Amino acid sequence: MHPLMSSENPIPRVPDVTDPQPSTPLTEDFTTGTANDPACSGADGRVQLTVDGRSVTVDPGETLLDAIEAAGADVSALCHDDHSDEIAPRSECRTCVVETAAHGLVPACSFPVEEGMTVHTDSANATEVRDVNLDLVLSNHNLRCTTCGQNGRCELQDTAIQQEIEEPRYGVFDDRDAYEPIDDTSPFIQIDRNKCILCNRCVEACNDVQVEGVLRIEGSGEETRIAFQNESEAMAGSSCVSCGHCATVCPTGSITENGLADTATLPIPGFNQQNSIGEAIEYEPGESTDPDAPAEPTASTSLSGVAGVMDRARRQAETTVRDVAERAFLEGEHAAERVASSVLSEGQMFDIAEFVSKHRLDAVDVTETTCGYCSVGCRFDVYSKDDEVLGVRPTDAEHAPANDGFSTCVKGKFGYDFVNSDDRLEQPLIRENGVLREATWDAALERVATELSELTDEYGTDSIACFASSKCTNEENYLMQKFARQVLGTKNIDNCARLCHSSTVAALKQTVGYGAMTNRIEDVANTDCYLITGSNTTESHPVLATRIKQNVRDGADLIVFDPRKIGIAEHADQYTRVEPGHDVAWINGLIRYVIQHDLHDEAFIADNTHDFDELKRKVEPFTPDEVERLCGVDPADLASAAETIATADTCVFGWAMGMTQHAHGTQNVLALANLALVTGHLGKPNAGLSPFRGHNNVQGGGGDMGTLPSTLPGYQPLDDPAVLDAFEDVWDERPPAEVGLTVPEVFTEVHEGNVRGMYIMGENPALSEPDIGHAKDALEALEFLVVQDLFLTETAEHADVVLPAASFAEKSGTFTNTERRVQLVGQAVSPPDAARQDWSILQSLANRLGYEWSYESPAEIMDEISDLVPIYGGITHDRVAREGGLQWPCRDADDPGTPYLYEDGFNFEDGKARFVPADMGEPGELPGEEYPLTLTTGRVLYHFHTGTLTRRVNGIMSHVGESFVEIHPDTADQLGVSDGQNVRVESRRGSIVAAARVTDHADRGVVFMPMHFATGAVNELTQERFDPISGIPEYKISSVRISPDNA
Amino acid sequence: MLKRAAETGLRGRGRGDVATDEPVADCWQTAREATGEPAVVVNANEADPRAMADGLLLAADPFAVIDSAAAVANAIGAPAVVVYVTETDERAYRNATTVANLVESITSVSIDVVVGPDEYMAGEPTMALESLEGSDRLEARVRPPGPEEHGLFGRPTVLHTPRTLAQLRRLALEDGDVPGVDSDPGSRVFDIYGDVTAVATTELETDDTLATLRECVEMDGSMNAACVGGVFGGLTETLDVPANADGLAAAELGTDGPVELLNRGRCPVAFAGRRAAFARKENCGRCVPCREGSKQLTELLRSVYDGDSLIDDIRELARVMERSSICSFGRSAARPVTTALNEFEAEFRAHADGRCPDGECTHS
Repeated sequence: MHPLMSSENPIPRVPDVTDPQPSTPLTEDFTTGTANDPACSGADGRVQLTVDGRSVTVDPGETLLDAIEAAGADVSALCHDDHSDEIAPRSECRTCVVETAAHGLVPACSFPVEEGMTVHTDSANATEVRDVNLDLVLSNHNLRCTTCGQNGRCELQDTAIQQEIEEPRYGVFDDRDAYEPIDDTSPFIQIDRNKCILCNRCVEACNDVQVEGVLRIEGSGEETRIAFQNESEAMAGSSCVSCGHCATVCPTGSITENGLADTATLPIPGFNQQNSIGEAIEYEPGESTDPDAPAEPTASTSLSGVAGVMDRARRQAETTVRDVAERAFLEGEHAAERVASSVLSEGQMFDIAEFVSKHRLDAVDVTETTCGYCSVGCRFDVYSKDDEVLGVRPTDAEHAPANDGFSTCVKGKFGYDFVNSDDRLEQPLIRENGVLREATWDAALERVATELSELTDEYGTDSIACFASSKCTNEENYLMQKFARQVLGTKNIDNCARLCHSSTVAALKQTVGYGAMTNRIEDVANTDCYLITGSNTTESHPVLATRIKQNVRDGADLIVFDPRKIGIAEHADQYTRVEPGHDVAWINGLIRYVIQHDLHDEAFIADNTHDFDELKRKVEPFTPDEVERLCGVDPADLASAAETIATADTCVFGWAMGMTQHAHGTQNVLALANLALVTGHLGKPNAGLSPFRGHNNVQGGGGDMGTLPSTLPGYQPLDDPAVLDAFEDVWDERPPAEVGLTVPEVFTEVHEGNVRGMYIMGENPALSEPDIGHAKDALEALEFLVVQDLFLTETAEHADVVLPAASFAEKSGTFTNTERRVQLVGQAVSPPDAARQDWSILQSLANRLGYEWSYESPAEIMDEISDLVPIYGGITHDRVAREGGLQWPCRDADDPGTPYLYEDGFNFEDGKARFVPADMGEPGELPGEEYPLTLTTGRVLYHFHTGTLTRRVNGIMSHVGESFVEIHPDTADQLGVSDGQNVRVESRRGSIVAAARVTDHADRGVVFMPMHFATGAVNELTQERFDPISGIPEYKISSVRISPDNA
Repeated sequence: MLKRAAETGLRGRGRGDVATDEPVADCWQTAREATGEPAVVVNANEADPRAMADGLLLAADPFAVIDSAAAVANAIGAPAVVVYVTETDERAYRNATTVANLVESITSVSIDVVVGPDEYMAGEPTMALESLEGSDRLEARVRPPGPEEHGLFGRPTVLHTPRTLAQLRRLALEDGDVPGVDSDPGSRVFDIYGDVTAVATTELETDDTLATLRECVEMDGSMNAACVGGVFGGLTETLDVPANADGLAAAELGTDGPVELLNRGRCPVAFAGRRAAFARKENCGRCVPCREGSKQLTELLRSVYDGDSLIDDIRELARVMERSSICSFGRSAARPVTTALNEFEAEFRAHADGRCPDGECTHS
């Protein structure tokens, strides 16, 4: 080593000068290996220029490339990406070079557009540069289209065909000895670097869109390649979160979704990407996945498809394909490549590839739909073939407002094994002699109709309770509550939203008027400041978190208060750890600080609110010292958070279950609402109260559709005779005017003998209820239980009749996302065998019970909804399709919907919000000598709720295959527990075993477990303690003890 | 100083300068007007051991360089100067540090001396910035806008070589009265090496010609060719070329300074091939015309030895590399090949026939 570098004090490489560029604590350490390019923001204003003699005008933000396109000219621009503004022009392939009068030859993708520019796309110099560079790209591309997963969707292939490349000047990359092995170590994404053109899109998609910092470019010259920032050799060892963005943006077959890897290859054994390259680093399925599941892509063995088409089309291609095919059979494994390279010119290769891909892709259906996992409401295209879901890719930006036309997460992009899972229910089941047996629909429906009628006759209509499902469509949930109220005449209709945001709805209705997120996802993406608390956003709402991370990286302030140092906290300007259970203390403390320091928005408060003085009185005791005593928040942290929030132009308050699932959950949310009102961050763009909802359709199906015991659809009161009249007019039955039972109350009333029958559509209370031991006893005690689901869930095992339903991929209708946006769901595949869409099952049953429902389609159900529900008054399927989603309130056909609420006053008669001061409650259970630890529960990125869907996805199970308990290293030391060891976790309710994960995510004395697993089900431990206002259970706090499990 | 530089139209010197052969005053103006607080970088990282001028200037007369950089900083309103030195050049680092402390104490400008990798590409201005920002992999940045608008950590940044700064100092000391041609006032520094008994570094006024260089050194034999302008300079049979930017450019030679003299017996085809191979090996890997182009260029030259006369193909590829590469590395990488073809096309044809007129290729 040179003396300069070996000295005691190493010589600096980075000068001590100010870096004014914004970043987050995580992004500043990303090592992308790529240059800090200047921003290419396009034209400053409207700019006029001349392209090939035509005058064109570009709008602000548009580029030279846009101008060329507008002029009707065409350049390849291979490395240019148009998925996301976050992916800047790489300008590396130089296949978009054009000639300008002022600057000579310039790359159209990145060169600034100037007023009065004269551009020639077709000059001899420009054409030569583009042609040579395209051939240079091909020279380093493993051109084996017929064995490539991207065949037919490849941008390089499209360009080469369009440019009529017959024999590229420098050949193609086909030196087998130089091939890099395929990286097949991820269950979801395959990397074939031999096809990489180093466009860098994947690196930017990973670092700049997803803000995850996994991929990078490494090496120089010929050794330049895509690699991993953590220096892992393969995907499996990287820190990849499988969002899939890299596969979405890859222009070639270099990074592909495993499910799509062989979509358009020649349908001949061995003609797949893996065999073409020869060597692959394989994916090893996790221990807990189904050992029989195929881990490798499989090739179809049918030749008939190609042969059939061949008879009718393109004789030349026919002979060549057959020739290739026959030789391939003879020559074995590497034939695909060898035959192709010796027999065909590159131009012929393209001809055949185009022919094959057209034929094979014709058999692939593409259906636009809305994601069925969380409530962000990402939209994408489902690729399916023969009723099998192959994969998903984002749809156009204008059809995908929530995910920016681009983003996905691991569940939304890859979590579809469940749709075609072997254990889908395909026939109705009826319990006979204690055993569930297959039955006909006729027999099953007859049994349900008879038993429900008998119970109603004998014990009254209220002896039956119905649970709707936040996974089903709006139309289905509307029918579920209609079935309950009209057909069965019971007042008991509720749904699992009781267990997640019921306290949010209760608090927001009291303070601002609507029990919903006040603003758009767009506002969450563009605010100046965030207070995020009780939301593990990166894991529970990954695509929303992506928007937040991008905005924080670009300079917004992020403040996180949470008991656990979760992923989003890693990006925060301020992370403050709080002790679980005393959230009102620090929020009231913030309010007090704001008022004490005159940071509150006096004009806003005076014009828009009532009862400010009561709030002032209530928060008075919450001095910084008292807050520190109650929940461990440092007074300096309290002060800086209060000042940042109060002085920001706009602020979004984001929360989820960490606020709501407490015995005083409503009080927590009241406190947050008060803070938003005091600082005036409501009723304007980029600000607001943002409860991040859980299920795909919890807003619509779990609330708007009236699947609640206390309100009719559209939150219309049960005690308003005019409302009841309106429903009676349409239904010919008057809905019960009494308030019904909540989900937890139903379970209590079963034990009391007051509820005897239950109808459960798409829910799994046997795992999701607190203290499930008690809940299972109730399910057993029922006289009659109907479960309508995709699988024989833990709940269905107790059922008397099980009705096989359709998954989101198998139905049409609408979902309403977390920002109140109603979006279309499209049917991509048929339900398996006899399974049916939920609305159709309910219709058959209603008719069997003597009613005349005659909906032809979900669109007709929506027409009835818009008749009866004022906030959905202007919503029809046609409009939603045309306008790309509508946000309620949308009162009539001319109403464009409401992007953010309360611009013109709050939802009360006088337009003013109410301060409802929040009381601090004690957690229902405090750690003591016998149970000294506090257990808190939540989610992980890879799973969803009780895991009925995600536990059936092999790739997901290989990531997180079993339950675990997070323990702080110091606590683990005290308990004598090491990382990975099985431990017994016990509460007063029950006892389970799970693997220990020793990490400092949570504080000493606080342990965390996920809620997704049936084995090691955490709700064995949680307690039946409820928020008195909303009835939400206190999942977030239980006292437990932990010991090493020596069994 | 801003005024004098503008009046005389003084141009930047060397490949490491943000204003190579362009008037420095223009880029100062751009930096002053750009958004953000400007910075000044003294780019003395030249990894080519035969291109000694910048390291020599910084080590031997650090005050001339650093004082001048501080003056540029003042002129454009930059609070910071960064001196960027090759990690192996201990003497330059040590002397620069001593003088930096001194200059810092008498001006309001902060001065940091840091090192960068001993790699040829690390001297290219945008890759110099990447190194200064702590990137563990260097690659060129897209331009425009260039460093004068988006430079160090996104700040407007002026990068000058010690040669440019020394010229500026001379301009100031001599009150604008500098020698040389009007279009490229002042003097230029040339390193002379190759088949010479001893290497030399010398200064020519820009109204002189390169023929003067021949007088500064003794050659082992008679001159067959010279490579003018560093690693990616141009080959020429004659040194009767003006020692200024326009004159050198008109002769399709490089302006970077180093001049390599080649004896009879040195084959221009082999020489061009080695430079293409150097480009293939040392490029950053970012853009296709340079990364893939230098590889194919090397292969095409190799195939000349196999009897293929692909001169038109070579010229076409060289044109595309020169016209469409992102940075000066790729834009100049094919110059040895193009100029060798211009001057020695007959030798290429001889090689295609299996013959090396200079004998070099048959020996090896």
